[in-house]
Amino acid sequence: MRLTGLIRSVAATETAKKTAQEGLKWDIFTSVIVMRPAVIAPPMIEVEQKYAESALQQEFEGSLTNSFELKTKKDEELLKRRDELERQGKELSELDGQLGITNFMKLDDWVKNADELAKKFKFDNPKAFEADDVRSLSRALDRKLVLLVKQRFGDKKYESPWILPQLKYNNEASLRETAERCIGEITSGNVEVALHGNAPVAVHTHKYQGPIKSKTGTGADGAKIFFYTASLAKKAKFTTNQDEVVDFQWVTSEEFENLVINRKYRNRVKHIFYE
Amino acid sequence: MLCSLAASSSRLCVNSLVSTSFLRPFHTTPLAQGVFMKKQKKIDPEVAKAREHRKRKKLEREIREMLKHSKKSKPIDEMTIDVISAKNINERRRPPTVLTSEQLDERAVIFKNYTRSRAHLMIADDEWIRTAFYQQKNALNELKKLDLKLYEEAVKPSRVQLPLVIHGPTLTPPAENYDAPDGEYIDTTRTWV
Repeated sequence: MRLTGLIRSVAATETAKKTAQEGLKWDIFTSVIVMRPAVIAPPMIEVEQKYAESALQQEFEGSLTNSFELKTKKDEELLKRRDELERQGKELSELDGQLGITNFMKLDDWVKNADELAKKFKFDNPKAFEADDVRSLSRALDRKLVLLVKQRFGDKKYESPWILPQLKYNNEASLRETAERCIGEITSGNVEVALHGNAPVAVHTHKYQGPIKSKTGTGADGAKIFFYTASLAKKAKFTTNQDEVVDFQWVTSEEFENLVINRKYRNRVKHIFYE
Repeated sequence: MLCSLAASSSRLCVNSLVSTSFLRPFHTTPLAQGVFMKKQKKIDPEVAKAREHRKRKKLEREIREMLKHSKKSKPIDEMTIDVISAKNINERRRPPTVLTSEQLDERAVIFKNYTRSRAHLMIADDEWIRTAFYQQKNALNELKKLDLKLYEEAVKPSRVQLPLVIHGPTLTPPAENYDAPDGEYIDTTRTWV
């Protein structure tokens, strides 16, 4: 009891923490999973498509005709009558006042207007809004995207592999504060990002190998990385702090699998990508 | 003396609970029993009758009005029939659809496949929620081992504005440079008395 208390008081003064059970010292890191939620709904899969069509058809079969359909039927008859009269060379006076604006004309107008609007605002092709650039926020609009970075960690010559942005815990009151600082560190300007909750969503344990252990200067045996999730506000502009971030990408779950090498690391946060 | 009288009266009062006749010693002056301090004016019995009649009529009218409103219930639009459309309802019936056995089979297969896909989706959702819970629990346990203070901070409830409303995703992305036309907000909600 007294021993653990002693360890805790010592650990509080250092950045590397020790667990009593394992006897190992750990650096604490906080990592932020910045997400851009899907902007548009993904297209229906084949099963859904077929079911939707079938359900619509069944609903149509069980319904009553509406007034517009009735009027269409009446218009058809009148047009047929007119054609007949014209063929016989008779006067069309009996149809006076009956054939006004037919439903065919109305429908034509509506379709034309709809097409124009669709073309103007590209409703018919949502993919037209998408950008190919992996750094763009308007790529893969129907997918959830997550920010991946190559970080320097204050060392100008260093360049990390593709990772989720992270920052070492530095005696903040809570890990959430470290996460907030992390967002501030990797972004520049006013970026609207909302952190979710006070508790980390996952943890990854990373053991230092070889020379890195002495390089860190804390004498820790490894790092525990605590993940927080955050989402980007709608229409937010995103700019990175170029001193800290060498490169960045907005990735889908498949791209994340390909870019991040460490399988264990991937598995810890895989569920975040669930859509 | 009064005491004994009160005692005897309480005994006697058992049979007639409301009797006050035993309280003789309390006297009031005739003045207090007087009803009218001023001499009443005599009203013409005809006028009084008319007044009474008017009062009664007014009350009756109010009661009638109240009954009228209490009977009327709020209409349920879904249960009422559109009178204009109902006039030619037989014209509006579609010819019954006759499906071949292949078409019926196809529909059954589509429905079955859809049900199956929803079940898979549910399983995936369940798996996702379980994983999320497990990972977070794991993370909190690790944090507890490392630093109790940080753990206590982490398990504090966060300042979330509830209810949380999330909009989207939509079918089409927001149109760029779209100027929404001006308009007025008109509340068309119907009200009933």
